[in-house]
Amino acid sequence: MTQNTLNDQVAHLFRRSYSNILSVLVAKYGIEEMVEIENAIMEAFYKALRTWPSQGIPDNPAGWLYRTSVNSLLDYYKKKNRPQKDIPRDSEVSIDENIILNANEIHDPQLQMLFAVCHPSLKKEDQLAFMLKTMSGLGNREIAAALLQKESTIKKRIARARKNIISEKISFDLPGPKELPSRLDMVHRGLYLFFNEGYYANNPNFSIRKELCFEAMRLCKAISEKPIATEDTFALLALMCYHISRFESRIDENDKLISLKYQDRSKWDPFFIKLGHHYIEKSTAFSNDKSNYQIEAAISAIHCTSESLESTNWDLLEVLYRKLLNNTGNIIVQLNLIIVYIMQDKLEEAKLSFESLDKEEFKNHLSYYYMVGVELYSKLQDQFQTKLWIELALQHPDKLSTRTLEELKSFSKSNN
Amino acid sequence: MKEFMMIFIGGDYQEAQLSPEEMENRMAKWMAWVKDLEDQNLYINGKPLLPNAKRVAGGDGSLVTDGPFVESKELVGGYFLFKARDWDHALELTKPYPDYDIGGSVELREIMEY
Repeated sequence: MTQNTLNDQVAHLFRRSYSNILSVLVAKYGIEEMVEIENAIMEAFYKALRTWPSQGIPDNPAGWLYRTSVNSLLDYYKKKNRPQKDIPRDSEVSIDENIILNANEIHDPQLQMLFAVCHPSLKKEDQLAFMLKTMSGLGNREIAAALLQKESTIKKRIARARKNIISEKISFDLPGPKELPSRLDMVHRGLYLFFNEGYYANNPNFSIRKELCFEAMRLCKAISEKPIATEDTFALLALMCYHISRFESRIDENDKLISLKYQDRSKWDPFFIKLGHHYIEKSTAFSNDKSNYQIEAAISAIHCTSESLESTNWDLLEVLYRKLLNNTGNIIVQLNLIIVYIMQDKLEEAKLSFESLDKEEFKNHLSYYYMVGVELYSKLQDQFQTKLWIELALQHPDKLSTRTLEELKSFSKSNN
Repeated sequence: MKEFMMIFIGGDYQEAQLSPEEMENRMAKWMAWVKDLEDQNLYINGKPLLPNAKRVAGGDGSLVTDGPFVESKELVGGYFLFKARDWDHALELTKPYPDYDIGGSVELREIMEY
């Protein structure tokens, strides 16, 4: 056995095959069989892990995993004496085994699964955990790590989501034309959540986060290739591209997030920025009504194409953030808008806006909230307030990049 | 060159509840290890073993009992037959075994030659 491309052959194979085979078998045997199907797939994977190293990778690894999963499922049914009529073999969906052969492609059953997972009857938190489980091939432990939750919590959420899908008899068919727009909204939101979890979560494991972002993007891209895609699909895809273009520059040597002003813009990836532009064009070709995803993508595009912080078109950003705030009432958008005011030297507006905020609302974003305070009061040259907000920000040093931390400390010293 | 056998004990994947992601990583390690042994012309062969077992005993071999006879952490999961210069070399080659972290261990035995 001499395989130079050995790692290429198994790279992502299990993870991607998991979601692939799961979706295909759920389409084939019914969503209520999900637990049995999951077990069967895992059994096939164990078997691969035991046999492939000494006996070589089979010619068609993805097909092998699929066939072995099916056999394992049928063996289980036989053992349980489940009457054959209970197993709706090839009933509604006939699956060509060939579609399994390329584990890197996202197939229709996976999109059906995505729609089922993004059903409105699922709680948001359950949905996210379940989506990661079914669509990304991550295990409970990794999902727990990615979402910064206990493994037992994740287990519960996944079980609840699965139970919900089964008991609500959520159809595994793509929604009809009447239902489609609202369901597609849910899918977009789900993917957005999925992506943001990777992008913004304060998770020290950089590689997991990056993987999450790419998986979310892969799924979004798969939808964009279907006739169901809308301006939002493409705007979301553009937004993801712009964000990903900055991935490398926003993490410092200690895996902390670097704020925009300290990011090395030469590290921004021109490939993804260009791809972002491409998808924005596609999106506006559908409609230019400025949906929230379009606004967010436009905001990102402005940052990505500005050569420096100073030369950024803050006036245009103000218009976009105002509109976004108006549409969403999102508190982070509010902080972003205040930063824009500061950059525009509209300090009175920034101050009024900042002082109207309710600290309680920023419980989960305290670090950013405090940093905006520091920015504002130092620009206002209010030494007393600046010092106060620096001290608050320094209470959460774990969330600050090394550079920001240094700046705050020296700031604090020079103001003494 | 002497011949040795590595006997893999314990390290049950099902019990460790590995995720597809973790299995993928582990698979890559196994494959790389075998490839490395092959590249050095040291790998002879290897097989995994299923857990079900029967034991044949009694004076005439008519006493057959059904296993398993040990707990999963003591169960032999498979073996590699390979070549090494000496014990030190054989031990060195055993190091990349990927399943130490989930409680697996390797028993190393030298093949008796005539």
